[in-house]
Amino acid sequence: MTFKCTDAFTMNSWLTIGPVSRVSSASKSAPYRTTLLEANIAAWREADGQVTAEADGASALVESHYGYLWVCPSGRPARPIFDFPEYAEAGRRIVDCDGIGVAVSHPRMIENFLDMGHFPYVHAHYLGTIPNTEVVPYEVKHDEVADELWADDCKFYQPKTSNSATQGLQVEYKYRVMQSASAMLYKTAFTRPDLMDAIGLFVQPHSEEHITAYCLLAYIDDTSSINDLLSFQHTIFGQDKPILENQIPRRMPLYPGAEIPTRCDAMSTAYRRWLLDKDVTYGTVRSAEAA
Amino acid sequence: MNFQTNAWVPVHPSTRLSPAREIAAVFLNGHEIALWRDASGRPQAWENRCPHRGARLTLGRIIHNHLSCAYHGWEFEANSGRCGGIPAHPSQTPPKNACVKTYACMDKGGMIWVKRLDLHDAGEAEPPDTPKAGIFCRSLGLKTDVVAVVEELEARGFRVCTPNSWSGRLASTPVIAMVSYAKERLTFVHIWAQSNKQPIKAGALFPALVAFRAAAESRMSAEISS
Ligand code: FES
Ligand SMILES: [Fe+2]
Repeated sequence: MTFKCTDAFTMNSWLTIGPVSRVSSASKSAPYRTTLLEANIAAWREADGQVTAEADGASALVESHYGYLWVCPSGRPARPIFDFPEYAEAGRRIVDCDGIGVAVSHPRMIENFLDMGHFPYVHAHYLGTIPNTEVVPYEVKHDEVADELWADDCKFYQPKTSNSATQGLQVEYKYRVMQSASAMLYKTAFTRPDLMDAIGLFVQPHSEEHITAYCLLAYIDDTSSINDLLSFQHTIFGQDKPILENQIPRRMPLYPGAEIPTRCDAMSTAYRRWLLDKDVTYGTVRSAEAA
Repeated sequence: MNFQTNAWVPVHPSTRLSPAREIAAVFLNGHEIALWRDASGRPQAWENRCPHRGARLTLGRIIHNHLSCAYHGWEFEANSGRCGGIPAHPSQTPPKNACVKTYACMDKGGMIWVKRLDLHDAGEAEPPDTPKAGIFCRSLGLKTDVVAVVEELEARGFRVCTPNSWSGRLASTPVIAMVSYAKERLTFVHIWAQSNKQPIKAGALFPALVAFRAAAESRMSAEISS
């Protein structure tokens, strides 16, 4: 066993090992090296353009989608990679924000991404502002066919939703969990309030308590410079990082009574229940004694 | 040894914590604690973990008589630790179980003392009387366990005067050393100079503290390598 993970759901899912650009100049003798579920990954591009990946020297199943490399640790994927139609949609700007390392489990990272309640505190004056702290009720749906979670009627008042925003705006959000370590959000585009920007969060779990979180934008915005878009995302992630690294425990506690949610945590609660249903243990704590 | 888990432990000098201002991160026998004072000055020792999503409360801030968590702004009330407000739901009464775990906490003899409240045997109602402590010098964090610290104190002729407090001399200054076991390989020693006659020879005392730290820490490494 090269991957230090025992739960089948995580093993049979697609986990990113980083943007495709990592292998653009990598070769078998000088591969792109990284880690996934504590295994050492080497990946490179063959002469014919195909990407090859190895995990601790054994061949690993790898595919390229949406500008990212995806490995299925077991080699037996439960389903194909999720749909991301906005990636190929005409009129959208695709901006890869690359990754940031965070000392936290992948479920804690995903949960932070699904959470509007922290906007006025962690992202004060960007994604929220006191006293506009209320999170109005929204509904969570389970798409049984794709086995995805959706919250598609979220609203939040934001003082500065992106670098192109010049005034506050009641922003609509949709959240989507595609896999235990991949999520998307869609939010009102500032320059075209009838359309929604899309942001993908792809998390690479190096271990149960260390990840790289990659962020990919499919934006309607055609006024901001690439630098503006990147620096906005990096500012936002930089605000989340110290909070994420100060959550106790780093792994997500999934046993009853471990943490107390409230109504605005409906998406987080659904995500936790979904992880429990799938018997995901990687990156989680399942009993008070283990915490 | 006086390190039973229901003991009062000196964790922080009283004067280094102002009412309704900072939140200090301290340890008690392996537990992380957020230490602060309410507006009246009463000390509060709380588990350093928000009951909502686990954020360390030391990242939060004090507003009047409550501590506001840095992650989602939940407001926890002094003394009870009960959640009094959830900003995401301004008109909702917070659930009763949204409550921070609290520890017993008191000022005595110049130090803030903390004790666990969740043990069957509650232990002493108050921290021990300490000899007149004098002038606070500094809190030393030693990367070693409490046994090595006590051995080093005893090797330097220190004697236990009250639980967790040793008296002796460093650089010929009479001092009280208050010891608190923080967590594995981390022990704090809070040093008080007892002299009020002669001025404290800080110039001599601080090198002695550095030497004391090095000696106590090397005891631990000697144990590991042997
Ligand atoms: S983690 Fe403290 S308020 Fe949410
Ligand atoms: Fe955030």
